[in-house]
Amino acid sequence: MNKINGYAGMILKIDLTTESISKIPLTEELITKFLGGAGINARLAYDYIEPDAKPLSPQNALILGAGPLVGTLTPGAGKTNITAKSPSSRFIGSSGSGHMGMLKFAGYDHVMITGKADRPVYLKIGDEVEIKDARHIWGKDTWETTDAVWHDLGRQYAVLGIGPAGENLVRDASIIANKYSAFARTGMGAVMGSKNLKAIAVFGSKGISVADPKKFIKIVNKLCREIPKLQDDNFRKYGKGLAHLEGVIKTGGLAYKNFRNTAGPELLKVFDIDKLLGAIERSRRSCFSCPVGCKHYMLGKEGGELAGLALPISCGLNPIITAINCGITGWPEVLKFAEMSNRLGMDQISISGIVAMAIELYEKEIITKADTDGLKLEWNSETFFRLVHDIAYRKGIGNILANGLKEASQQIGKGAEYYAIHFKGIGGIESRIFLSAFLLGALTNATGHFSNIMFFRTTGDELVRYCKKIGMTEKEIESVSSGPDGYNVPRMTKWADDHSFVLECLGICMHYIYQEFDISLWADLYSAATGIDMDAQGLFQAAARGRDMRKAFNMREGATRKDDGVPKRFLSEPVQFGGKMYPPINSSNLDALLTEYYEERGWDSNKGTLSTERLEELTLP
Amino acid sequence: MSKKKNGRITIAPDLCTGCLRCALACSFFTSPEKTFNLSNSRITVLPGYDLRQFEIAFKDACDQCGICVQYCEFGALNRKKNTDKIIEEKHETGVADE
Ligand code: SF4
Ligand code: SF4
Ligand code: SF4
Repeated sequence: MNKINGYAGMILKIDLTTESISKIPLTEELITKFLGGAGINARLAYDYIEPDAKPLSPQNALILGAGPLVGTLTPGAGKTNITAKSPSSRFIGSSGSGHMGMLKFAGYDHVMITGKADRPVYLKIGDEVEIKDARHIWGKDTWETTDAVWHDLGRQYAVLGIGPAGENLVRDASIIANKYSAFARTGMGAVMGSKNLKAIAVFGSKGISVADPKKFIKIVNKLCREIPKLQDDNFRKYGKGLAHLEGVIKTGGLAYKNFRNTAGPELLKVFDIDKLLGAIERSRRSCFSCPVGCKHYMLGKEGGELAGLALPISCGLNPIITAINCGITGWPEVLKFAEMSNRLGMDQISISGIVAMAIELYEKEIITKADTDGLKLEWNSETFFRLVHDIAYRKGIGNILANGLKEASQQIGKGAEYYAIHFKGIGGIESRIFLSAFLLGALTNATGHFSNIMFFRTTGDELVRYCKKIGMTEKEIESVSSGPDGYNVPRMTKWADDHSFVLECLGICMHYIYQEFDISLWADLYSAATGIDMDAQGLFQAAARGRDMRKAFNMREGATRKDDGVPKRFLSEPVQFGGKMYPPINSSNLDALLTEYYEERGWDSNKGTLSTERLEELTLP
Repeated sequence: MSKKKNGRITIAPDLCTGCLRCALACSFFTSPEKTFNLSNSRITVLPGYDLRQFEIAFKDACDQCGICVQYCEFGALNRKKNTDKIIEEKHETGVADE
């Protein structure tokens, strides 16, 4: 088969047990069915990870994927995906980040790593592939790891590293790219650690060509002209995460003390962004090929409250959301947590969920000083930092907590499971104040992660505009445009999720700026890059196939409708926000929503699974 | 060292975000076969070890045409003198539409 433009055309396969390295051509069938990135990764996971493979065994495969637009000048096309069986959910796991696009220049669209090395190693994926000794780096944090690899190979390499958390098989360990960009969710760092794989370094000198350079650059230039218009002053000033802080606080999105309550608007005083900006010098950072640059580098001003701070930071919001859930408020503490989770290599959302659970279990005397080596667990920063550290190193009670929300709560027993707030084992976010497509996406997502499409309360004309933008037909628009929330939440969830998955497959960022563009524009760009005729419907069909593939993976692992549930606390306790009580989620209402979602997906609406025909169509060898 | 190193383009490393769009653009427009390839780019952008700043440098082969400036959205590359004419020429032999 001739190589298709835009793609590198090759999958690299590495078995760390036998140290065998092979190449498999990327087939046209994979490309036309699943596009690339997260989509092809889903198919490879189904084909190469056996149903009985334990997540932390050599049989699991860590699968890297860079979509067809990655490595080109397409704005925002620097996003890559890592997929494996998740040690926190035992279903499919997946996470994305913006610093691994170099893979295309090494000549690969995907890399599959199986087996387990007999000593700590790191991988050099360049024009040649080498398995290199990493005994001298083992034990180091992600910053020291990256430095060591850069010293060895040069700083042109993108370096993905794990910290102590990944080495110690902490279920929610992350992989950190170039010291700050996280493949945070679903425990991909633990899978890497289980293979004795400390780092992956990527660079190369192979070129990526596009089918119609003239047309391609024309569309790229158009995007470049539009993108600055979509950035408002707030965004320019505050960057990713922080620009949304006020909105998240005002809509009740901030859980407090293990979801017992919701943090109110008074927090805006504590987390005064202008005060933060007064105490630091902030410069912008970008993912690969992104002209938006929403990320930060923060340097504390001398003599100020944050003196000594020197921190690259991917998202300003996640560490705030998560620290507050453990009762921590204040910029110095939150930024310390951002640095700690980054260097130790752990997912902020899940880890803080575990810490919050532990403190509440201690309050409820389900765990006592006898379990904590005499440590008193309280809602303060001392407890918080101590537990984060002890989880990373599996010390004391940290050894149990490191097993993730689902497993740790089961091990502790005595009703602890009720206090573990997770979706399929993955730490979650508050969903009682209102249930939007964003949140319903978390229940139905095969990976347990919430939806990336910030689709909250769009109604009326705005909704129709959105639907048209993503290429929905009049009939499809009609079916989603009414409901008690101003739109049909479950039906819209399907479309918003597929929209995000289109971007994930192509390798484009899911930031709201990139969500603004018509899908037909991405389809045109894809056609110009690859020479494959594509339209909006075609992209959505491929995205739905990829999503269904993930579902097929989970079904093979025994997933049923009940795995698409919410934490028990959300079904039985009301939550207070802004002086008002919000009732718990009504389970029969939720059931009805799920049924409608499955229907929109074309699944068996009773079982919440793929139809037999669809399963056959998808999984044929 | 080539004189061109101190040519028409000035560098403000404190504004650089590390996006590498300059290098992607350079490799594409300066290659006869129009491929993206960071190794062929005539500008290099390397992260400092402490990530505080990026190190930006032009290779000898750089003719200071200014295409990379056009694709830097952050003001980290600037043209001292007007290079529009050169960009125009390059685009004519290349593929850019404006
Ligand atoms: S918008 Fe932000 S997260 Fe998205 S690619 Fe750009 S820098 Fe990365
Ligand atoms: S000035 Fe021209 S040749 Fe030099 S690095 Fe920039 S684009 Fe390349
Ligand atoms: S110089 Fe400009 S285009 Fe190049 S990496 Fe820095 S910010 Fe990006």
